[in-house]
Amino acid sequence: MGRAFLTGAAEAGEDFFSRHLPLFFAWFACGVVVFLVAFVVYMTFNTGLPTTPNLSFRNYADAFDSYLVRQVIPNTAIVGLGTVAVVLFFSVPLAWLLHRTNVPLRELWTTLIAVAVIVPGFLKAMGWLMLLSPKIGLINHFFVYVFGLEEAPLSVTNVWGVAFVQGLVLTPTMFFLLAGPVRSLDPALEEAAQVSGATMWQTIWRVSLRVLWPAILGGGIYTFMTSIAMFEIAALLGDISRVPVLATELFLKIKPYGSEAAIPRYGMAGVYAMLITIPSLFLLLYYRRVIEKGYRYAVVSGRGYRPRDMDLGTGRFLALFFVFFYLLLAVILPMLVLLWSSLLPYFAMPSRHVFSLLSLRWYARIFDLIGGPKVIINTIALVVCTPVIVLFFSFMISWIVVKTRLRGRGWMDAIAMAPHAIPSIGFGFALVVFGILGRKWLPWLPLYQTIGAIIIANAVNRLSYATRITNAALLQVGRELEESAQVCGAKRLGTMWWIVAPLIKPSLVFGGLWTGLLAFREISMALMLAGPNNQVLAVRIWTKWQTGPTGMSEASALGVSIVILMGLVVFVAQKAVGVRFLQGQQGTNVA
Amino acid sequence: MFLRHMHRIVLWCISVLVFSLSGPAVRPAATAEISGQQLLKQLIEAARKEGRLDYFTISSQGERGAREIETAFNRRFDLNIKFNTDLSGGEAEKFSQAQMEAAAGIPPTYDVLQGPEHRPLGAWEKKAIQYIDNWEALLKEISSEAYEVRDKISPLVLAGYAFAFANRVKAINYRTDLISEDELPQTRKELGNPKYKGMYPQEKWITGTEYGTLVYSRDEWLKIVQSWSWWNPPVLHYPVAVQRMMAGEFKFMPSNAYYVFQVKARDPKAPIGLAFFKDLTPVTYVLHHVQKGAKHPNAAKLFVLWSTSPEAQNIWENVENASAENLILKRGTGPMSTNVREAVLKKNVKLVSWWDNKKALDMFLWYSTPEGQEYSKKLEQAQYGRK
Repeated sequence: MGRAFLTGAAEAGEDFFSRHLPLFFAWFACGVVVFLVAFVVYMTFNTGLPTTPNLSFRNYADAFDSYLVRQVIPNTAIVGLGTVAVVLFFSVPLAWLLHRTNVPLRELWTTLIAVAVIVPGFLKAMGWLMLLSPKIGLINHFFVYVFGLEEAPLSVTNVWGVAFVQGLVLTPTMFFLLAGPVRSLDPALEEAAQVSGATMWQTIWRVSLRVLWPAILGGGIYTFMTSIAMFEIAALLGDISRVPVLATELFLKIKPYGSEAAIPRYGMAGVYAMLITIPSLFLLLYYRRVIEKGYRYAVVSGRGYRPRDMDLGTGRFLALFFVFFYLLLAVILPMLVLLWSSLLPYFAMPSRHVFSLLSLRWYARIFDLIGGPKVIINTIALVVCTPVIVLFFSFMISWIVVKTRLRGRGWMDAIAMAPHAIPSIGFGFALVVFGILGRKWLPWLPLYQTIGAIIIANAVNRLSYATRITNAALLQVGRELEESAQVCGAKRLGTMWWIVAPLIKPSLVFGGLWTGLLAFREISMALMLAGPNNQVLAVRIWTKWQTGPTGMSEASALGVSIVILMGLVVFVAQKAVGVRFLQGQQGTNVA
Repeated sequence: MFLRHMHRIVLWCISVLVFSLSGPAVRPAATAEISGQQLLKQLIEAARKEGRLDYFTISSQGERGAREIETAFNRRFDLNIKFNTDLSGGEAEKFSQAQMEAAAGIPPTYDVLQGPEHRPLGAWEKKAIQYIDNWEALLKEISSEAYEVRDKISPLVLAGYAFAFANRVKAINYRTDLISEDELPQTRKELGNPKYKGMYPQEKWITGTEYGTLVYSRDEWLKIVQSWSWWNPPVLHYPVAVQRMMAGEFKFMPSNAYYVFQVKARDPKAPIGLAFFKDLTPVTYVLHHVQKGAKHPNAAKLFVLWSTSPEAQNIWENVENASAENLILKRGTGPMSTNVREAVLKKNVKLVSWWDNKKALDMFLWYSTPEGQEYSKKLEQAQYGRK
């Protein structure tokens, strides 16, 4: 495979390392992905501990019981499809309104939608629990009071509630995925439809949406895959009896909660990971087939393409209301409830007595709540190391894929894309198992309950996202620049470091900042890999919430503080880096 | 078949033997005193060399409580041991992990674990607990108050293996502004009454439920537990359940007594009250133990014994109102213990525990047998409403 590369190196007179290091690192990253996936598959056949293999099909036989078939799989399907429905309901109109119409303050709304990404999903779920719980939900109280109802009309503690909140959480992702295609849509097509007598709605339905179909399908598939792998919202809203989904069952097999302290059933967890992965892979294959016929959807050509905004007239105020309505549901309401909770000694509904209890007591103890310097150091390590590792390996992979003609580079790109189809919780699981093996036979390997394990899990999980950014960025750098450098005597590594990397710096900064922020808010893998010494802030909030009658208020204070902190980080980053990275690159997936 | 169940039979024989001999040990006082001092000195020196303790403990004590405990322990023995305290909760996960580590042959993450009695018992059965040699002599030196009640502190089959530092009295916490004490279910059997639909969450644990077989026949008790979940109540972790009860979602919740006092400590006017079931009020023992293969065994042993003392008890009860009421110690306990004890006395509640008599202990050990585990699983499914 590397023969052509070797020959080329000899011809150029370059040293061995300069030529082979990118290849080595690229295959190393791909090897880690393949290794972890293979590990999950292997564990599905192991009924014993990772250290004592006992291969059989028993895990599959045990997993496929009536509980799985009657409750877990249907619930997972409903949550997945319901989440996609909510996401489409909000994101498609939002993308169109904010990128193709004259809605006022579009940049502000786009930035606010981006800010919604950085609020951890489980914090929003906590807020929604207090808003839509059948008995105590403030919104339900409102409906009961205003309409004189006997029972609360809404509930968030069921499978539909989980889908609703996950939908709100994942809407910004889809919004940014659609941003590029929507901006690129040639208005000539819409104008032609309207000239032919189509109404605005007919134009949207018959022209705009159909042209955007690949982007919507791709985003929908991505949303479905993400939603069925999400653990925290189903666990938080559904408790263990109401909304069992594959992700929660997987988690509970590794971290059992029952009265008997059973040894974790890693093999069963592997089966659940496979059950999440297999439909995702099929969906990806289907998506690839659609993309292969992408020429049917090509609308940007060299002939007079001119993007233009649609004038909504007075309808823009209705559009403004829709945008605000989403932000109200996704950010403002849940955060207000968290703020309220954080000011109380324990969560309670408003009353005269409760108002007298309002204070900043939890904020005064915020460093105690955080859990000391260890948690802060772990979090900083996570937020700094994850992007550095991801971007380094993504750069290496993209270099091989985009800048060389090596055989196997297509496979490399496909492997780098694999984390897109495999649920994050699956990688978490693989690293738990690998950590146990490492602890037994390679005790020097710091992967058992260490922050390193969480960093690796996040890095692998974000590899597909980061390679898309670096691929796109490297494609824009012309070959003549590298050739000029080589003519001037620069070696390959020098060219990469001194010439190419500075040219794609904005993309690297964008990818790095997003990867860091997303690692910061990630909880599923961090919880699965958590031990006494590697807790990060997101895990700390989760565990605080489950500690005593005051836990909700303490977790709320931590949550509000974190959101403010992240907001400040984003603000400073924007100022320091000089890129409006929140609004991202067109069409770049940010979650 | 016989060999398969041999260890169960041995377990029963040991329990019978230990129970019959469970009075205070008779030893020459002077010898014990001298050797006790020397033993303690040796243990302290050995702990000093280790310099560290990896410790999973009750989360409700908070960071401040953990710091106070570390300081007091070091001050008491003139040590400078660094505590690596895990306050993240989730004892089921931690014991599960400990079991996995023992089975996989990898070093334990924690030197000391805490948990209610069934968890150390399970670890003891799997030989995953370190026995503390001369524990009585050491305990006498460390805490005379704990030594006085050593048969309760380290009871029966767990003697020398695990050491109780807290109790948890099972009770009903209820919203005084939403339901009166008279309207509450008087017995656990009444929880299945349709009039209580939607009023309470189901407990996540079945440790309290297992006690039911002390009062009811097994078949009858299983039917009672099945009757609780006909309306598919939410199954919640206690802290989350009490949060949602305080928010008004539930009118009452069967759980631990101490939540009432934790809430009252933050807000004396909080509308929360305490009641007890008339048919069954269990009191569980919460014990520390040293893990076999612990990296810092001597620091762990010293800490586990000291944790039974009034000195440690007062820190837990005073600093953050931790869930550590202690009804075993006769004197020297703090406000949480006093409150719970007074409530129990005032309502004239008869507490039952697995450690009360041979019949109770036999029942407890029965839950470890294959038949008992099968029954336990049925109870769990009934409680969670899983058909």
